[in-house]
Amino acid sequence: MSSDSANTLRSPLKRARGSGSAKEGVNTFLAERVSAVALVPLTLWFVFSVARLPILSYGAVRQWLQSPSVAVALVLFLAVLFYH
Amino acid sequence: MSSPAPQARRDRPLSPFMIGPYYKPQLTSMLSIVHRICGVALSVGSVLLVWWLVAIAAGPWSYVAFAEHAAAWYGQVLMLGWSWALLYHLCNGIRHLCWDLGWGYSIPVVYRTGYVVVAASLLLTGAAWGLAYVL
Repeated sequence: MSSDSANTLRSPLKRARGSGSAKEGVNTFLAERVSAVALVPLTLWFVFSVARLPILSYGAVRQWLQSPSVAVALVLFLAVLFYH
Repeated sequence: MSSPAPQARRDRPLSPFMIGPYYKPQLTSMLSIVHRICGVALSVGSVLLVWWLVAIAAGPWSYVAFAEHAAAWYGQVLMLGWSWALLYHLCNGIRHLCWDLGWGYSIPVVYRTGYVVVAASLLLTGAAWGLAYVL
């Protein structure tokens, strides 16, 4: 037995089969954090922009969405939101 | 080995589950549970967000159908709930990011940031709705 296996709680069979973590945990963790950081400004922008909108007026909402900067920010917000 | 007698089964100590009579509700555990409930509610609520966007895209007539529900009392309640859940999840999410960076683990700090998160989420929700109704 090598000194490695003496210091581990994993059984030799488990080591031989190569089972262990799924090796995807760090990526999932980072993706959640990065999207969280991106959502902080996007969410604040979205909430306070929509709050200032006359939400029941189709014309006003449509006009708001026609601005390219609003459209880009909203697409970013939705994409990151659903990814998060 | 035979299965244990019913008497022995009863005498075994129970592993205490977080919900139930075993733990006193605390600010820390409650905020944690609320964070998760808000996350689930926001996922469901984002379907309504998509409905809003589809209604805009589909034209004025479908927007009237949306606006009727949005203006109704239940629509206002849902939007109020969704906005608070979103802002609470945002504030507590920042608290989580601080923990990920290794900051704020001592019990007094955890409680202080907990109260700050509750207050900030309520203030932000009040500010957004104040803006909506004043303007």
